[in-house]
Amino acid sequence: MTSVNFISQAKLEGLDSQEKLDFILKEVRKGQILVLEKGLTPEEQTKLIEMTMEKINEKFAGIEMESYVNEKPTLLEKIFGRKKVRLTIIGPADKIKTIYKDKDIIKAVIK
Amino acid sequence: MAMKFSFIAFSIFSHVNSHVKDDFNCARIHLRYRGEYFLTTLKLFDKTYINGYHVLNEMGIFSKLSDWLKSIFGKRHVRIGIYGPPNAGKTTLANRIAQDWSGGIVGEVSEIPHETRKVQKKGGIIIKDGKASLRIDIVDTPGIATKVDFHEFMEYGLDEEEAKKRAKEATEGVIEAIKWLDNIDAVILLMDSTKNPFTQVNITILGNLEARELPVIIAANKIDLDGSTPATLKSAFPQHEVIPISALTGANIDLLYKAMLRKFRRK
Repeated sequence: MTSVNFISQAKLEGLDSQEKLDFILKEVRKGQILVLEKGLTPEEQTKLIEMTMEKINEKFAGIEMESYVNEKPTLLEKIFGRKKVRLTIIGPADKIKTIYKDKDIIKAVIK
Repeated sequence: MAMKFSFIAFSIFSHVNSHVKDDFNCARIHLRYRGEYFLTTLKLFDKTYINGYHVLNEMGIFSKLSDWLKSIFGKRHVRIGIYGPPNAGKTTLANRIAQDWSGGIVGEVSEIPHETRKVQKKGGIIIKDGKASLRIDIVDTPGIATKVDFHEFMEYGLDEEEAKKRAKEATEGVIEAIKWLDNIDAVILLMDSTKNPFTQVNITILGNLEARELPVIIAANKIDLDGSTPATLKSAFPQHEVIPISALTGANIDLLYKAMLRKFRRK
């Protein structure tokens, strides 16, 4: 059975960046699908891809990850040139597959 | 205006040069304007001479001066990374650029995903448009992906051992491609215009480039194929310049070169 875990912003904010990525990858490798209330930054997503690549083997093919970015950044986000990532869904590639995505909708199937 | 600034810069260097003695170890500075060297080499400083150089160097004066000159004259030698998901046509584009401007190819292409599993480089390519020119090093990177499944390669006829070896190399290639982001000046982000552009790989790469403030051009590739919708890419990423191209046939490739000259000469 596959479980979908919703992870609160408070839980994620209690972890530093590396701890957050370690936690995510550990859960995903156990077969869990995670919905993060506060999404990963592009830098964190890139680091997660690197860490995932190091773990890929015959039993673990990688991850499926989708996120939204805030298309209407706040003034501060505009000043610092960053777009806030609103939400991220991450799961093992053999259990979740994105079938459609645009800037407002993510449709995914869980196998 | 540019001529005026170049004259001032020349004067500054001439003044420094007047203090140089013959027995100095030299640092060399090449000051170029419109492809010509104003000063071919300039003997400036010596460790034994002074202290002035070290003081100025530690103050970052020369680095600031260099940045200032680049901002005036434009950067004319840039290392351009070609990034994108697997099978977007990155190596085909790298080969097209190399063939158009210097001859030769950068790498082999294949229908099997992750054909490029190591970064491939070709340097010293000069692209031109009228009087404008830009010297570039092309860095063709392995496709970035969030998953690599060796079973997928077996569908292309590879046996299991070959497929597993390819998968292992592909994962290493993804890591190498990401690490190379630290060593490039500008990016051509290649997307397949026959596919949905809202993929996580596209969004992640773009987010990284924006955070690093690297200049980027999105090339909507494969416009020669049925089902190509480059307009979808333009509406998906309105804040970026999107150039529809076919790296395979060369369609619109001149527009990409013009955009590179316009966007990448000034960093």
